[in-house]
Amino acid sequence: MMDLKTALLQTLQSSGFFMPEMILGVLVLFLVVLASIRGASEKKVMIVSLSSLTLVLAALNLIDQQVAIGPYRLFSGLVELTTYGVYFKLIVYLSAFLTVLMIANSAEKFTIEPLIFIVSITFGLSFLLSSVNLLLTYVSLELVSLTSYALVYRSTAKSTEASLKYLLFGAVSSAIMLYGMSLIYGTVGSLDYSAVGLVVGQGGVEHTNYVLLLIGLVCLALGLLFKVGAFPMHLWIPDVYESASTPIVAFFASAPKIGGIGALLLLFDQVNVLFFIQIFSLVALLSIFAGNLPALWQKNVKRMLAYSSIAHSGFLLIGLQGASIAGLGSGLQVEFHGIYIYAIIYVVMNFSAFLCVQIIEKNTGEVNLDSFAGVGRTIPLLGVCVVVTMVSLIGLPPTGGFMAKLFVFTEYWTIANWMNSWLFWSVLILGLLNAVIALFYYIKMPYWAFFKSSLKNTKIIVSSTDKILLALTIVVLVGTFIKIDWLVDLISIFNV
Amino acid sequence: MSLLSLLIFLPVAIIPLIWLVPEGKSVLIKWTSLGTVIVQMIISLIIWGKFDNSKVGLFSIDDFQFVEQASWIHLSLGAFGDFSAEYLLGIDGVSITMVLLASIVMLVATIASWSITDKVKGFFSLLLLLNAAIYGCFVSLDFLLFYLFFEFMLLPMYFLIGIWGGPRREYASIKFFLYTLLGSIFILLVMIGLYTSAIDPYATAVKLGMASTVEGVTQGNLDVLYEMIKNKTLPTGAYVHTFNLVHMTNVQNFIPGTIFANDTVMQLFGYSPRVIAFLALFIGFAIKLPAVPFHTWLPDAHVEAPTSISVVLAGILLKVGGYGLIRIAYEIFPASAASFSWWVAFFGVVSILYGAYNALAMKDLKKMIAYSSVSHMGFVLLGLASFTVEGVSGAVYQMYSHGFISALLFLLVGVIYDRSHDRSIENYRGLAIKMPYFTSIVVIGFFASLGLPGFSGFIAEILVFLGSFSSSVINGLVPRWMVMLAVIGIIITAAYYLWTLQRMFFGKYWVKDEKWNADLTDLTIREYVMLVPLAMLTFVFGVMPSLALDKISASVNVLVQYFNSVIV
Repeated sequence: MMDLKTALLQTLQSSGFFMPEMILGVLVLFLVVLASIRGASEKKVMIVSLSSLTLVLAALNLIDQQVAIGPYRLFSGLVELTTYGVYFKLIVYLSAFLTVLMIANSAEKFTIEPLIFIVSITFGLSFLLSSVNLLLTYVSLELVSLTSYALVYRSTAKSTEASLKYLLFGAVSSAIMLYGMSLIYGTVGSLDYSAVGLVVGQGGVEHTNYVLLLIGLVCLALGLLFKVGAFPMHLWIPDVYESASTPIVAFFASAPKIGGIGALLLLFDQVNVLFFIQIFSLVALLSIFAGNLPALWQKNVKRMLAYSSIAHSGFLLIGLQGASIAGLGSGLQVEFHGIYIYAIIYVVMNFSAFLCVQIIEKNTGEVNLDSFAGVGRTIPLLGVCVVVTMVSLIGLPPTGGFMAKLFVFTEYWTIANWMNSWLFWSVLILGLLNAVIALFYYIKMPYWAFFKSSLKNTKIIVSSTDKILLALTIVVLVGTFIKIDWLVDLISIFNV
Repeated sequence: MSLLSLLIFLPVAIIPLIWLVPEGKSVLIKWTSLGTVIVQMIISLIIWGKFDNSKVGLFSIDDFQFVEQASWIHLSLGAFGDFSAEYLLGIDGVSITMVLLASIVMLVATIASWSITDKVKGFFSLLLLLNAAIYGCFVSLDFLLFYLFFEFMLLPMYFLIGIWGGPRREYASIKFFLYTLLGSIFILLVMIGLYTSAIDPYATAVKLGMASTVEGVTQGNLDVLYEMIKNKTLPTGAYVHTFNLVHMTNVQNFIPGTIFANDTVMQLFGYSPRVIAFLALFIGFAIKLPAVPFHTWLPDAHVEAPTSISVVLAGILLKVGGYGLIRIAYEIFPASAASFSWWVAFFGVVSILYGAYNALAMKDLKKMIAYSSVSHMGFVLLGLASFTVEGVSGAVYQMYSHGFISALLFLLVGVIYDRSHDRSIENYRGLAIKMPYFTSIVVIGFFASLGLPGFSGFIAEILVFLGSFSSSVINGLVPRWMVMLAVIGIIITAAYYLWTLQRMFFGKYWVKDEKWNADLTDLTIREYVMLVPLAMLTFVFGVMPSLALDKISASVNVLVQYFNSVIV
């Protein structure tokens, strides 16, 4: 044990590298103070620009400080700055930034509370993405969870049901996770990832304990899968997505998902056995099916996109296999992973889809498939954006979604080739064939937008900001297909 | 001059111009589109004229013509090696015929679209997009580029059928999309595997420092490189993985130990991966072709599509399936193709017979012709399966000739449908009296399609029969009884065409609904412009097959030699 003085000194030194997190923390506190001042809490323009600028500042700090120092342990070994962890943090900040913009764009009455929660979640995810200690992982995950429960709630009957469900599922999953952690701590005697990894890799415990340890790790991973929204922890997603407000849903479908994936990667980077690769391949495949099959019957677009996000968790998990296998003696030390591309393109597709949803919601007040009737004919730009986004979500050329899938599955192919067992080949083939199922529901939006004409006479108005955003997403999604190297060059700033 | 790029990007560049045309000036849009396809036609003819018949293609990029090569995506992925996709275009004897066919069919289809009055801008933009994708498909020599165009044909087609189609258009368009997407996922699977297995030897040599540029790589360098690959002495990460289809035809370019390496000992679900890959590609392209039992999307799509789209579908899109089989499935996996020859021929014969029988039973004229397409595409499979020069040339020639014959037939159906909005064979009798010129072109079309000597269909079918019949002696791949069964298909074909002629066009004039009497007039100038050249083309290529066969033969000869060299 180190004495108090060195500990304090180390904390002080480490804090220097945690500028982004501190900026976010200050922002949260500041927003809370603002919320309590009568009058100030309704100044939409001021609050939104403050929050978004601070997020940008945090992101710039992130690039400036954490990228520069590379892999590094801080705070007495509680956190580790990894290149990919920092990269995923940036994606989370980006999601938060886009969400703030979406909230500003929303027609609903503006309140400050969602912003407080969004920044707190970002703050929590930021720690989750550096944590290499079971306790810190738990604490940051709980920070994310508790604020999420509050964020979901709106005072409608449906929303009450959804947020209660969310709370119950969340409580169960965090209990499972805590139980898993206790098993790990009991067998290994340390909370540190690398200590756990050492035991798992070399089998330093007797057999029964080893089984307990593996069970503990699976439980821990289940807790993280809850945030990712993957099978079997996906049951809360459809209800929550259907009833929460659109910007919040867009946020849920990106930030915690990417955060969870990054946390899993941090875990598997240090603690990995073949057993996990097998289990998580299966989990990935089941997530894809659990997302795509129920999506076929949905009429509410938000609910449909909820199931679609479950399927995309599956694809992210497939990408995760490629990134986490390096330590297993496969000789597959690839320096660049498909999941980095997939994560960023997924976030773009996701926000683009919810932007389209938001525009429709603003004009018609509802988001069923038939609300899209005829919009492609009256507003071609919106129609084209719907088509490009959906084609990208299916994963067809000429969109970034195709390239992302190509990279993820190429990497998985090398794993399957190395392992050469029927399990991996089946996951690969069935995962790709799922595009056919996905086509069937994704194409419904373009179908309503172009093939049907609107029954009601609601005139759809798209503001010029929205038009610019729509055009921008089209350019990004098509551009990432045409020159994926540019995106890769951009990502390589992070030395991932 | 980069003629091939011009073919692809000209229509894309025209689309923004179309959107600038003010509302209500739809004629201008139509003329712009027509001008575009005429320019493309001229370019195709220039290419046709400049084409060197002696160059063969296949193994070396230098043997292709009008080659354009540029780096498209190049990424360094650490220990995995480099990811390299090129913008690589080029044509050989097989693709030159397809390029010319595409220009003819697109020209005719654009003229046939003159009757579109609803959402003209959208229609012609999508048609131009489709146009670009079709040319792209036929001239790409990079798998990723090919796949891009291959998939990109689906989306415009989906909207073209779904928005401008008949009463059941929504069902037909989604069915079309789902079927072909299923096929292309199989192709994607093989593409991922191929690209992880194959390397670009030139770029790899450059990366290893053997030469400073790709052009500077000598045969000596390559020999050293192949020796290193064989002995696995290359450093990790030195490989430049490629999508280049030309490199994939050379088994030396496959990394030992990868799944599609020629001498792989790996087993996938109990079979050799190369066999499975061929099967996946075969299913993928057979859906597009379409071969029985993957054909069920075709009649629906044809019946619901507007006339001009049917023309494109039958005239060109089906050929992409056949072309893909030759260019990708057969050229990269010839040994597996040989081992599946029996089955390929079998599906061919089943398509010929089943398609023809179905056509016999159809009451809807358009559906009958759709099934006749299935039947005729069966000959492509039969010819390919034979692995003989005659058979493979016949397969290519069949694709070429069926292109304009089927375009002609669907246009003829369109003529009737435009006038009476009814396509039932049983609702008409003795049309020859009322529409004599129309009937004479119908007779030409039907006879051309059933393979009467003097028309191009005859040449194609006789070549296929010669090839597949001699196959049992030369390489023993296609049994004789299959060829004999296929001949029966010709007889059924003759039966349904002649029966239809007799029922609809000969005898005493009668139509079901008297209101049609006024509408059933003979051909208009626009229709003559579309129909007469097509009818003449079938005749010209029927009496002078060497016009096209000269272009095809050098490539096919080498291809067949290569095929036969790998039969074990």
